[in-house]
Amino acid sequence: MKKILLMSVILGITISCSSVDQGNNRGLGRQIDSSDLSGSGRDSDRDSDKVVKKRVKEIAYDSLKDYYSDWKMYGIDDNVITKNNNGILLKETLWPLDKDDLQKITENKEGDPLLVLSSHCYLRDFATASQMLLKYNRQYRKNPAFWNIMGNCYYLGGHLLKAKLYYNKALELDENYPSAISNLGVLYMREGRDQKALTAWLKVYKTTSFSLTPLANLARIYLKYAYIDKAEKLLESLIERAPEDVALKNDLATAYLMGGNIDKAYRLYKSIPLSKLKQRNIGVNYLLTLKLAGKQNEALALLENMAPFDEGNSSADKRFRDYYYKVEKFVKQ
Amino acid sequence: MKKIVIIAIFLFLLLPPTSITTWAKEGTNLDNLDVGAADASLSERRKQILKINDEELKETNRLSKQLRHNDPNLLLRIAELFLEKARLMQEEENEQYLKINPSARVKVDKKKLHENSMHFFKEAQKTGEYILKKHPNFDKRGEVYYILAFNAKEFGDMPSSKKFFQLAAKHAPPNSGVSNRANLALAEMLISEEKYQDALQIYQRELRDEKDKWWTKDAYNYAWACYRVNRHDQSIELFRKIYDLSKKGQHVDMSSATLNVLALVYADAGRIEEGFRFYESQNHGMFKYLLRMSRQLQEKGEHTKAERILEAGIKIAKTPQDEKSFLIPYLDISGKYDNFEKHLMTALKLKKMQEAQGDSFFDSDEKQKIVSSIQKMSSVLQKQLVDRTYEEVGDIKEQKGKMVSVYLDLLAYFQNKDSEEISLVKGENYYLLGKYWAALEAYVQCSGPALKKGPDNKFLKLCSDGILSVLDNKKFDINAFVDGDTLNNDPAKRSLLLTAYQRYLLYLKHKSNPALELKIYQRLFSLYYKEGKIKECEEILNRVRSAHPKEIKIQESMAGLILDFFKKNKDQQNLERFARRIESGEVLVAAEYRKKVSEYLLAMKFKSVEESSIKGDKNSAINGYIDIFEDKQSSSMAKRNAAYNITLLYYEIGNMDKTYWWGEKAISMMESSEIVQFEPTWILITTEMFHLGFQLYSANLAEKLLDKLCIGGSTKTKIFYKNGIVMLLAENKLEEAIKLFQLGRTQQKCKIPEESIREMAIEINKSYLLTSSSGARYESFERFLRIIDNGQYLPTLLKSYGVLRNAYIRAGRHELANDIANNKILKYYQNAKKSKVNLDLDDLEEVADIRCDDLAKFAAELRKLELRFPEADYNRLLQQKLQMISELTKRAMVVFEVGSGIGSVRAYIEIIRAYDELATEIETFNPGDRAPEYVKNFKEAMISLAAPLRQKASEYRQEATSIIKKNSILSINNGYFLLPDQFKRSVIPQYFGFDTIDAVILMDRKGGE
Repeated sequence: MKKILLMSVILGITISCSSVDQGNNRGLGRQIDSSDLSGSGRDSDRDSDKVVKKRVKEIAYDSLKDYYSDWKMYGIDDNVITKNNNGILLKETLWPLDKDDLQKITENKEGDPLLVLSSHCYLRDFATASQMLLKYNRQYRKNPAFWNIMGNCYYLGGHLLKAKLYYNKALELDENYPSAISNLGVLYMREGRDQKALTAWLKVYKTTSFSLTPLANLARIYLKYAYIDKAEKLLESLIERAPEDVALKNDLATAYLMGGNIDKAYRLYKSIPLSKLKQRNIGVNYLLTLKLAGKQNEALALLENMAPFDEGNSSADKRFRDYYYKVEKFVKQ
Repeated sequence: MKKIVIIAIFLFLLLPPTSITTWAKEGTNLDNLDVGAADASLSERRKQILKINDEELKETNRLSKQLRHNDPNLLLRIAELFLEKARLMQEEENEQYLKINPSARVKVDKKKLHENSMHFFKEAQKTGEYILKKHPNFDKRGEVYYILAFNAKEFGDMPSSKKFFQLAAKHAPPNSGVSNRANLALAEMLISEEKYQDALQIYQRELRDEKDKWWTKDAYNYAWACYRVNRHDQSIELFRKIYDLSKKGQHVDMSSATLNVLALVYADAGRIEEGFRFYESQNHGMFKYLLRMSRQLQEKGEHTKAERILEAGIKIAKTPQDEKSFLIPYLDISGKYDNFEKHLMTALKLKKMQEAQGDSFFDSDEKQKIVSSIQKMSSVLQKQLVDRTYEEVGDIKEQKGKMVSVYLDLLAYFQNKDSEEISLVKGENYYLLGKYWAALEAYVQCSGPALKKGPDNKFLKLCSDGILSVLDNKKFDINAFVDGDTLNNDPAKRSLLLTAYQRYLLYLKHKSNPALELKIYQRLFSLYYKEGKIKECEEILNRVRSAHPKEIKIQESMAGLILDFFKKNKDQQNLERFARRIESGEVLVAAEYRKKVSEYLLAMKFKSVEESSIKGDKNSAINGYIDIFEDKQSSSMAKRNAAYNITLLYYEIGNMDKTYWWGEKAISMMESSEIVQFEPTWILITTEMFHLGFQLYSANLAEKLLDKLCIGGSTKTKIFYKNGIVMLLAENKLEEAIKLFQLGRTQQKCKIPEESIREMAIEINKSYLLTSSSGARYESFERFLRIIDNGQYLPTLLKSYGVLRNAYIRAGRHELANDIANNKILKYYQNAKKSKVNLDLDDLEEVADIRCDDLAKFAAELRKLELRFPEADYNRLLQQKLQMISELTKRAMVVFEVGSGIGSVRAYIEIIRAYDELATEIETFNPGDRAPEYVKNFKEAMISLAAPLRQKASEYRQEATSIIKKNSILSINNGYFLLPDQFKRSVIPQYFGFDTIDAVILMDRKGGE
């Protein structure tokens, strides 16, 4: 009898063991991997009661289609397109658009999610942007543009480190992704690490032939550090592609000024709308150009109509103000 | 025999006085004969008869006296009278006796009672003997012999009586009354001697005259004799005639006696129905006669006849009452000569009767008779079995054994209780027969009542031992029962076994035999288990636990079986309940087994919830897990696993808030080893949190995880360490990041690689460098630097010190600034140079900055020194300044050696300015009030003196320009070298395009052409 009992016990435990072994793996929970992610695929509502039963389909990244387009469907005026170098720059950045245009884009529910997301970021609507992040992160998980845009969002919100992390996330997917590298350059500039910014933009310059933004930034850093020839070369090529771009015009005019080509500078400044020239950050070098070009009166007239100082970056402010006052003094001489 | 004597006396008493022959005894002092007084108590008739008798006796005696007693006839008459008187007196005495209270009769001296009558019997005797002696040839000696015969009979001297009757018959004249009477008396005596054939011969010869009053009496004996020689028909005929004549009233009434015996004759003749009809016709129940006869026959030892009568009675009994009156004596009689079968059948019949008629059918006496009879027979049988009387005859033995059981059952039945003694005997009986199941049943039956009576009941031990002896008997097929299917079809046997075990256990309660008790528990458990009675199995386990707490192995095996049962039957509810009992320690098992059960329980709990999850119903799964978590019954393991799974589910559906909430909970509850086990998952979760913008969640979880991972010996602690710090920095939680940094740095168990610590130190450093300045911030920064500065160079460390140095300078704390410059920045630089370690560019800038500051100071000193006349002073000062500019140049070289582009540019500006300024000072120096020629020569000389300085300045300018372009140095002073000279006289244009946020062009997409 005892033997029978004992055998039963052994069997019993064996049975139990096998079940338990299975249970061990399950009872403590599973190891998960990213394939477990079924995707939210739902609204930005964080309510967990809404359950997703189907996996959200991941959208594969197509580098050949990595640009903004179809502006008409967003109600963006042709003028906007035209003035923004016929939309060339707009293919890669929403930076030139004003608030109204950005708002129009966000109102289009059928729009390209990346475009809409980016618009919210530029509008500083970070709450909506966060929700979109939750909503679309799984679809665009493998899309460096998505992460790069999120990086931009954080940059615009002042969270530089977070921005860097997202840019790096984009680079994990594509180590040569120009947008992320370019934006890292921007970020380095903000950190005061201009050398690293230069390195980043040079990298983009070497690897990407057609992106405007990094070239513009590169030109700017050259301008900042008086590499006028390089700056001029870049800016002239950029102006060809975007002849109406005010920022580029300003930059090139400044380059001409700094290179001693006062006449060229003057002509170029003249093509910039006066309203822009009244902004001190653009107008200051125009004043100097006018003065050096012997157009003192024009300079003085402009001086009187200058807009107030733009309360922006405080560290640059003092330096800029010192410079502005120096120019002002020189103009008045 | 007694009865016949009584009948004879009775008959004698009925004899009319006139038929009595009297005689007188020779030698009898007849004169002394008490012919006297009549007793006052005598009945009137008797008195009268006695009076007459006395008178005649007196007279006859007188006459005989006169003849000197020589007349035998007179003497004969005297004897007759004496005899008659004796009879009458005896009759009276008997009546007196019968009037006495039966209980007092015992004390009566019968001798004294019959003293009077006996006296006259003796007188009659004496007289008769006198006659025979005196007159041996008396022609009526036949009558004398008759009297003597009668007296002898009275005295109880039967041989003498017989002799005298024979003499009376011999000597009486043939065909005389005396002869006839004597012969009939002889015949009667022969009947009492059971010499029936002899008696018949006499009756056939002598019994003729039916008209004779006494014919019925004599014919009665004749009829009896016929019966005894099996002339049943003749006997019946005679008895019927006797009865009829008796009823007519002219004969001696033998009707009653006839009725008594006729039933027997009818029964024996097999004419019972006829007999029954006869009796019925006479309004007499035949049954009582049959019963009476059977009793009488039994007393005589004629059991067969008695039996037959009873059988006849049974056959014709019309009512149960009648039937039982025969059955009970029949039971008794059938038991004689060990006729077990007949006896048993009768007993069973009696039982059936009671069953049909009710318990009160038999009165107590009847029951007692039945019980006694059964007891007796069963004892005999048992003895036979015990004595192995039929050992060699298996069939018979078996049969006997069965009979004993039936007897015992009957006994128990009639005793109206399950007598334990009876059951015990049955058990013993069956055991002897090897009928173990039956034995077991009997022992179990015995044990029940015995238990009720208490532990000291003598039968309890016997019955219980009986149970155990069966169970332990190797021949008992219990094992076959347990293993095979034998008893699957025999629920009664199964039930019996269970009861047997239970009873035995109850018995053991009062005995201290733990080993045996445990053995029985195990057997009982097996049985219950086979039955599928799991509740009972649990109860057994409880008892084992209570009584034998140290027998863990056994408890464990039982527990295992119970668990298996629930599992096989998919009884989830009970499975969980029981497993919880094990888990809680309520059921004792080995620690390892308990652990397995806990794990299994956990697995089961989770299984159903998992199923929901697998089906995709994550909501149900979450709710299921929450239920497990909130269930008070859930163990801590279940709770933490539930928490973990909830975390996963919320993660999967993308709810990071709840993922975090539950994640925290799960982490706090999980063991370190578990955290380590599920590291990849945690990495995924924290990473995803970061991706989805929940960096703070990610950081907090990473921090919590790190603590446990360190304990758990994880190899991936650095991931959590770094991620946690980076996330905290991203959230601007600098202090918390430092705390975490310190944790990894100081806790050896975390095994954070040095490299990771360095990396994080740099990251935190960078954060400090990026954050806005404030006094508190700088203090915090300094504290941090003290932490990470271990004497070994760290990239950006010098930059950090540079920031701090500048902050001190701005705050006017030059001594602190100098301290940092000398004891930190320059010291690290010197050490790096010696050990040929490459410093970070930013760090080199700090070193260069310090050097440039020195340079600027020195240049300022150079500037301060103004040339003046007189010439001696001028020459001296000029000399000094030239020396200083040389020194300045050397110091500039030192700056160049640092390797910082920005520093170098600044140094170049300083020395170029210095050279230019000195050259200008020399060239433009006005010697004052001096001759024009002097002045002209002086100026020419100074110009040529200054020329090399200008040249040098120009060379340095070109050199600087070349270096800047070659190395793409990004110095804010680049404009000094790279922009056209025309701006030197106005304002050097600057570019401020990056200095506002809006001016920065972010790139969203790759773009396209």
